[in-house]
Amino acid sequence: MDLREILLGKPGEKYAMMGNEAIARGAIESGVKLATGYPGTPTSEVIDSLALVARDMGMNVEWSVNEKVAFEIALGAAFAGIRALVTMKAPGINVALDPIMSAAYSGTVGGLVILVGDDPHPHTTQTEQDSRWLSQMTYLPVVEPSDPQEAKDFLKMAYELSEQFSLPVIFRTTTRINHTTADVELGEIIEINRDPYFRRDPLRYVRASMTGNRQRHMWLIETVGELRDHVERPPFYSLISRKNSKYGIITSGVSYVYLTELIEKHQLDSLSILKLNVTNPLPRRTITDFLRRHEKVLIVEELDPYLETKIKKMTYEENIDTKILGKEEGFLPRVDEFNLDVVGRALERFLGISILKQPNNKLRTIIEKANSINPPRTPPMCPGCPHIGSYMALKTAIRKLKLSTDEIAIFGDIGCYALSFQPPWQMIWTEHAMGSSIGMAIGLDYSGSSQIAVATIGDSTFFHMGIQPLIDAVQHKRNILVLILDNGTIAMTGHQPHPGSGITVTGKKTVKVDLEYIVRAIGVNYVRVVDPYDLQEATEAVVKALKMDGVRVIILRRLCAIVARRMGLQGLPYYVIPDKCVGCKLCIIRTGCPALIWIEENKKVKIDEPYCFGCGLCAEVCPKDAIVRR
Amino acid sequence: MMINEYNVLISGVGGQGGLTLSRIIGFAAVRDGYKLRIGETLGMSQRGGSVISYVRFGKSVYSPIIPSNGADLLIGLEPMEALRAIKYINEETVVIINERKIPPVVVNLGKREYPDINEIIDLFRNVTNKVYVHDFSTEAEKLGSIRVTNVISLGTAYHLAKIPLSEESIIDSIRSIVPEKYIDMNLLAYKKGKEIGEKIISSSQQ
Ligand code: SF4
Ligand code: SF4
Repeated sequence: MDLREILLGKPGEKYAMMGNEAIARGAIESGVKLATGYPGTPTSEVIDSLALVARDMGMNVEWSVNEKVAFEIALGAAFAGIRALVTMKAPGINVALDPIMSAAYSGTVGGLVILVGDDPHPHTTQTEQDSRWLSQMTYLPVVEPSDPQEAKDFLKMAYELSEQFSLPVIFRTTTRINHTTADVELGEIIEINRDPYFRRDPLRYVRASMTGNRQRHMWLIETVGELRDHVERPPFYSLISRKNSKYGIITSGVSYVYLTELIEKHQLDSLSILKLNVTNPLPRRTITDFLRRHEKVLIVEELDPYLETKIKKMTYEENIDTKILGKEEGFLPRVDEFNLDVVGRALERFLGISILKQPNNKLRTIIEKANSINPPRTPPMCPGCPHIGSYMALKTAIRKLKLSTDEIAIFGDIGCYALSFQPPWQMIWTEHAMGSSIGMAIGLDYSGSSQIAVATIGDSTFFHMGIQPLIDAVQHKRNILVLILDNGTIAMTGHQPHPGSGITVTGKKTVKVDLEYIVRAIGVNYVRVVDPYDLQEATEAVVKALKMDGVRVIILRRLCAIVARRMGLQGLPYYVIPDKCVGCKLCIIRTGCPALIWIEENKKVKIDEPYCFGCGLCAEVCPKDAIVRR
Repeated sequence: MMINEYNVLISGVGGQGGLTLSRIIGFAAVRDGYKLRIGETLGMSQRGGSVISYVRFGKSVYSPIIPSNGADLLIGLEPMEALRAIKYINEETVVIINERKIPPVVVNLGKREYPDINEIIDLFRNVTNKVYVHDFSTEAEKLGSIRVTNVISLGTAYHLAKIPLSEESIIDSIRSIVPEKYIDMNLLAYKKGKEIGEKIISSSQQ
């Protein structure tokens, strides 16, 4: 049974589904007619899954150029009355925040849900941002599921809230929900047949009207007030109340599953739990009642003390003397994700009991020993990755010009190429936000430093947010070199298409937006397009560009090796002639290609041939011509 | 009989098929009527990084991650990566390790040494006596593709650890998860894995 069939399954059927697939099914069950987003771990698979059923469900699904645009597209559709979903990772909601803020004032007509995936730990994100705080500024409701089943079911609830209160709803998940696979029972698919129509209402929708803005602000405050009363009942929270329990726990999100497992396993029957499924606005009466009935309450939530701060404020306002314990008292950390051990230790301290097995000394010594002899496995770039060639060209050019690496400041951006900060490449100096490399390079140029400012940015990142700073650089005649690493896909998040790919997420052929034309149209005078596998030509282009002034752009164009391999486009593998190899390791040091393996026994390099992509980059740097094509 | 909780940890290098393996076991568990949680820890790269997946099934599993010392079965598709998961094992854990090394970049660069395989095995044997090491990769190559390393090791693990799932469910699960054209090779791989498991048992009884 493939994923499409599962997504279209009948109510009552049960499948092992990943959180993101369950959310996709939730969108189907909720009658969503438009889904947009920008790829970002941990939420990418929602749109990827919906694309599989777009045609069956009469749903429009797209990867948009960035999160702001994705949100605006969803908003426009929701204004016409249909249900829309927009998905993003945590930094994406920062990008979309401008229109989200205005949309809170306008409100919505059709249900509009913003899925945002936070990433405690973090596994794949710049920061451990707790996106729930955004609700304090935007006033928007926040729904938090705790597992894949709830992720599906609560999405329906989010759409109902959104339409009942005319507000966009933030659906907040964390990696451990999006990327957990669990048994999920499918529910009914609601049929919604509406005639989409956008009714003109300038006071509501035109933020140029200051009178309108004040009115809408008041409307927003009132609406959230009504919503606060509305969420004072299940299913907006769930309460497990135990008679005569002195101790209580308030929680939300994935923390709940760790609590449930520990309580069940260790029969902690004396604990009451209040689980909040809507975490903005908070059900004040329910919470204060709960606090009054307990002597001590532990707040269990990942990342920031969001609930904790708000609940402590309530105790002050309502004169409640229940002791509230959480992060500020050191029971739980703000950093990293929780697990059974972390939550278990907090429970032990809270209840003054001992439930976790203590690892004996022997085991502890063994683990320490294991950690000390085990080297890290840093994520490598793939064999045949065109970014390897691009950075080799940059490095070789620096060497050719006899410049010190400290004199070339390399601003990096978001994508696989960010892995180049690691050995052996040690290239990028910064990685901040989508498109930041170019703006920061401009800033260094302005600073008066004698260093040469170089920005390296991927194709999709350039479409997302790199065009605007390039326009800025041209307008102000700055001196920067921009390398656009054009591999034709959004690689890091799972090879989604972007405007330059010539294809949509549902597999339709479409216009290929041409990077080179965009760059030329902006007015960049030095533009070169080179093949990163051709080390000589690429290096020559970079050497020339490094010596010039002004805004220079080199597009290093070559399809991502994984995509190419899937299309059967890899070349014949290379191999090392042992007699010729002198063991200098230059191939490994220069390329960092994981298909090159050092054989300690004979002090020579060997190529893992099935893994080799056949790019030939290692052969180009071997001083002994020991590496040849099969 | 419904068990309360069974915990499998699969560790390996991205691209070795550990995630597929966790899905095969997970789907079989749902088919057998269990509650299921699969958690995974992947890094940023598409391939080549450390990948750990946790498969938990039973009546009372909620957390997607296995607690420390909580694994019933550890399948290490690569020796170093098996070692990385050692904190999850206990005296009862069945440990299956694929002998084939995949040296990480720091080792190829000569900055660190690949740990001695015997030392790795000894560390495990200090905790549990159910440690089985085999070169599943070579067996897979003999069957025609290194990519079935994962399913061979599953066959062996099923036999040695007595994973409490029905064999029909596992087979069914392989059929529904593996791409059509690789099904036969994977079923063969599973069978091969079982044979290896049987051999290991009979030789240990002698
Ligand atoms: S660069 Fe050539 S000679 Fe040097 S280690 Fe690699 S294959 Fe051997
Ligand atoms: S040709 Fe060399 S650099 Fe390219 S993939 Fe093969 S081993 Fe790696």
